[in-house]
This record gives sequence, C-alpha cells and structure tokens, in this order.
Amino acid sequence: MTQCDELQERMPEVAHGRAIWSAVDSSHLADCDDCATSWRLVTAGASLGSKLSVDSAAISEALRARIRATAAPQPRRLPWRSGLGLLAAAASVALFFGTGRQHPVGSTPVAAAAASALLPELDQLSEGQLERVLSDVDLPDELVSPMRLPRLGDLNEIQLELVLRDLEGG
Amino acid sequence: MTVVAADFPNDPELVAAWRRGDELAADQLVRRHAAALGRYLLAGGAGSADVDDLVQDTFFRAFRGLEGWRGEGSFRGWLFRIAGNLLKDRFRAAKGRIFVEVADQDLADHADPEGELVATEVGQQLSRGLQGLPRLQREVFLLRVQQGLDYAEIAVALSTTPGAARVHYHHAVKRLKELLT
Repeated sequence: MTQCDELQERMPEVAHGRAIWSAVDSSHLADCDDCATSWRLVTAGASLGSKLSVDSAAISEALRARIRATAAPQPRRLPWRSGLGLLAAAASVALFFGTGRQHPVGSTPVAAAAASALLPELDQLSEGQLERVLSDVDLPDELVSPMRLPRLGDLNEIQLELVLRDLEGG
Repeated sequence: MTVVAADFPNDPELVAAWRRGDELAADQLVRRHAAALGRYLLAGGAGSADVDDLVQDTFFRAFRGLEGWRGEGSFRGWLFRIAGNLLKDRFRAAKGRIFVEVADQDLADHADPEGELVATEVGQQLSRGLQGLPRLQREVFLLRVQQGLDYAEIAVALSTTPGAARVHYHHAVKRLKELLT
C-alpha cells in the first residue's frame, strides 16, 4: 500500500475526528495533488447536510401516533361465529346437492327454497326450517357435535343474522 | 422500581425497552438517530421537504419490523439500510427522477472569502456527482464519508462484504474526484 493509499484510506476517520494527521501526513497532503483532491472530497462529503434541521420531537410524536393507530386491536371475529359460518356454509352446499336425495325438489319448503336459489333464500327460512335443513345434511361429526358447536336452534335472531352474513360474505 | 429509557444508553437496550412497551425508549432512539438519517437521506437524493417524512417512515418501518434486526449490526446501520430502501422505492415511484439540492453548507461561507469558491464548487459538484453514481457506490460513499462507518458496519448495513464495500468506496471516490479535477 502506497502512502497515498494509506492516507486516503484514513481520511474518513480523520474527517470524523477519530484520527489525526501526523506531520509527515500533512507534508504529503501539501505536496500530493491527488491526495489533496481526495481530502477536499472527503471533508466536503463529511459535512454534507450538516446544517439540515430535523424536528425529531415532531417525528417522535407523529411516529407514536402512527404506531398506536396501526397497533390498535382489530375487531376480532368471535370463535363461535367462524364455526357457525362453516356449519351454515356446509348446510347450504348440502341443500344444493343433498336434499334431492331424500325429498323431491319442491316437496318441502326447505327444498323449494333451495331449488329456487341458494344463499339469498336462507334468510327467509324460519328457525324450524333451518333445523330441518341441518337434519338433512350429512355433516361430519366434528361439525355437528353439540360439544363443539351450538345448534342453530340455540341461537337468537341476532346470532342467526350473523351466521347468514358470514355465509353471504357480509 | 420503574425502569426508564434514560437508564439504557445503548441502542440494543433501548430497543429491548421499546419492545417491553417503553415509549420513551423510542423517543430516545429517534432523537439519537434522526439527524444522521436526515442528512443521509438528503445527500442520497431526497428533497428537503420530504426528509422529515422519510425519517419518520424509516423509524416506522424499523419499529414495525424490529424482529428483522437481530443486533448483529448497529441499529443505526439497520436504519440506513431501511432509509436506502425507502429512497430506492421513492425513486422508482418517481421513475428515476432524483432531487439534487445544494445544501446550506455547500454555499459560500462569507467568513472565509478565500475558501468560498472552493467550498461552493466542491459541495455542488459532490452533490450532483453523487446522484450520478450507481446506488451502491453512492450509499457506500455516504456511509463511509458522511456517516463515518467502517467497512464492516457498511457491509452489514448493505448486505455485502467489507471487501466489496471497500471496492465500491474506491470506485466512488475515483469517479467523484474526476469531477473535481
């Protein structure tokens, strides 16, 4: 490594006050155009933006507000709603494919509703009709186990509404 | 006993305090690094009107993604990495347009008439020359010269090796010197 290389390598450290030039270094800088140009470049680079004023207090305040806003808890879906949504979705699929096996289309109010249209008609069914829909569905045990999921008949109107909204993606 | 951020002078400890919910720790980290980040962003090509927003964005990304910083490099280096990515995104969004500003320190120092022209020329040429460099060369030059990081820190901040950082630095210096001679 030449003296020029060695000096130029140390320039950022000297510019930031972590090293100093020796008398020999200073003498070389005075005589060597290339090193002198490098030194001008480094000193100019070290002071780039040094008079910039950054309002760190305002940044902190805005940052905290932003983090709080994004960290605010999102409304969580109640666990039973997810289960009921799944149950209702399964029921509607079964309506479409399964009810015909046991009842001729149109022979019961449930089957008639399923035959005309699928999801929109579910909200026109009474609680008893929804129960019958479910009784027609061959659902896996884990979906219909009373230990895991409430039965539709146990739900009030509001809860049923939520089930239907889930089903319709609302 | 209540533990407050002021008890933790080191960045890793402030980060840990922030993770425990100490907002003062975040304030302290911002106070500690905002000015350096602002200078870096400005010299990297940000418009001065955008600097505060970009600094805020940098900290926001940093605090939201703290699990990405495992303490293997300095926290400041990690902030520079995020800031560099933000600038890159900004440039892409602006389709390559860059903002070259002549900062105050590049203008004449009236107390030093002899050095006035040199200071003006060097500062302006450097500001413009930096924008003509490849991104990695520009970032390495700024981290080395403006921020005073060593090659090992630069390597961590920019996901490269110290040797590669050194090569980028010397390429940048060579090209910038050509503008000054």
